[in-house]
Amino acid sequence: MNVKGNVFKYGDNIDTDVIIPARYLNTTVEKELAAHCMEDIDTSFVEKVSEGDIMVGGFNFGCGSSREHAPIAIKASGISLIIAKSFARIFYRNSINIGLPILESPECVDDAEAGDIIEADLSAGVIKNVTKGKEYTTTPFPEFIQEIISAGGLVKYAKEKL
Amino acid sequence: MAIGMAKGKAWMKVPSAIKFELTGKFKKGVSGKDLILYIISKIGVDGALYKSMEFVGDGVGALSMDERFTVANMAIEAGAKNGIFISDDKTVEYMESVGVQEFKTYEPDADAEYDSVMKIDLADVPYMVAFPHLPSNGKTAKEAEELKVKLDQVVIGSCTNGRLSDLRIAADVMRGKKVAENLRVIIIPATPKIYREAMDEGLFTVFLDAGCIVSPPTCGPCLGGHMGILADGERAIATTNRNFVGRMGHVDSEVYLASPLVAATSALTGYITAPAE
Repeated sequence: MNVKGNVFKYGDNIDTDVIIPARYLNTTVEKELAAHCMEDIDTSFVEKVSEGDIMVGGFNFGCGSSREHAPIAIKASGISLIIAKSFARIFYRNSINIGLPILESPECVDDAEAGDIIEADLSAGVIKNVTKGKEYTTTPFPEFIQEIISAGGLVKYAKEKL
Repeated sequence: MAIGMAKGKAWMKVPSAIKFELTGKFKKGVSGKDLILYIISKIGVDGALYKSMEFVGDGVGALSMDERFTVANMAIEAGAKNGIFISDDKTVEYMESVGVQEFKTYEPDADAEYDSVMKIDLADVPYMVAFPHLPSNGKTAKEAEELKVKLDQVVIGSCTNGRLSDLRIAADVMRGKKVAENLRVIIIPATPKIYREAMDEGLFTVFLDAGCIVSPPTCGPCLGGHMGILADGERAIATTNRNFVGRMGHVDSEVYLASPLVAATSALTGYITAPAE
C-alpha cells in the first residue's frame, strides 16, 4: 500500500483533546468529527488538508483520552498516514483498529517540514521525503496488522475472515 | 471485544516493564495522587510509553486500595500500558469485600527483567500540583502556592479521586468552614454507590454548608462535558487526571491537577494552597 501527500507537522505529546475536542464527541459522523480536527492548536488544518496528506508528529503522539474519535477524525480529514517519533499506546491500537496507517521514524520527523512531499510504501516500511531527497527505513508492521489496516480496520478485517 | 468473542483472538503488543520500588511511608496527608504526579513529573508523559509500571516493595503496604487505584488510573498519563501492584493482605481483603471469592494472585518472577528501576522513599514525596498543560508539569504545592494562582473553580471527585476516602478527606478540610467567594466548588462522587455512602454519612451536608455543589456521578467537567465548563481565561484545580489544552472547556482555560487534600485546602482560600505539613 503506497501513500503520498503534503506534510502537516506538529510537536511532541499531541493529545487526543486537541486532535478532537470533547465538545464534539456528541456525534459519530466521521465528516463532522473531521470538520473540527486539530482546531484547538491549528485552526487552518481543516481548510488546508487534502486527501492523501501526511501528518507528522513528535514523541507520544495521541496521548490522553482513549477516544477512538481521534484517529477517526484524522482519517476522515483525508490524512493517509501519520509518521511520529512514537505513539501513545491507546492511540496506537485505535489507529490500527480503525484502519489509519501509522509509522514510527524519529529521523524522518526531525527532517520533515510543513509542506514537504512525502511518499511511503507501508508494507515495506519505507518513507521518502521527495522534497528533501531523503529515504528512511522503518520496521514494517507484522503482516496481520497490515491486513487489518488495509481492510479498513479490525471490524472490516474480522468480517472478511468470518 | 465482540471480535475477540467471535474469533477467540485479540492482538496486543506485549509491554516491557519498569519497576517502582516503594519503601517507607508518606508524610501525613500525602497520598497516592501525590505519588503518581511526582512519578510523572520525574519520568514524563511518555516515560513509560507502552510499558508496564510495576509497583513493588514494602511501601506498597502503606497505600490504601483507593490510593493504588488512583496511581493505576494515572499510569496511562505516563504513557503506560498498565499500572499494577503486587498483592498483599489489603488486596485480598478488598477482593473479599466486593464479593469476589475465587481469584489468583501473582508475584513478579525472581529473575524478571526490567527496562529500568526507580526507587522511591514515600517519605520524600511532597504535596504535588501538575500545572497546565501536561500531567508531567509537576511542582510541589509549596512552589505552586508561592505563584499565587487564583482559582475560579475546584473539582473534587472523578474516576481518579472520587472514592469515599477522597470525599472524607475533602469534607474534613471543609467541615464548619466556607469555601472562598466567587469560587465554584464541585464535588463529584465516582459512582452511585459512593454517592449514597457519602450522603448517608453526612458528607453532603458538610459540602453544602461550606458552599459546594454536589454533582451526580459523571465525567462532567473533567473532559469539558458539562457541569463546570471553564470560560476563557478561567483556572481550575481538579483531582481529575488530565490537564491538556482545552480539556475542561475554553482553549485558553487552565487545569491544575492535585489530590483531594490540596484541592480542598485551595477551595478555602481561592488560591492554590499547600496543606499544612
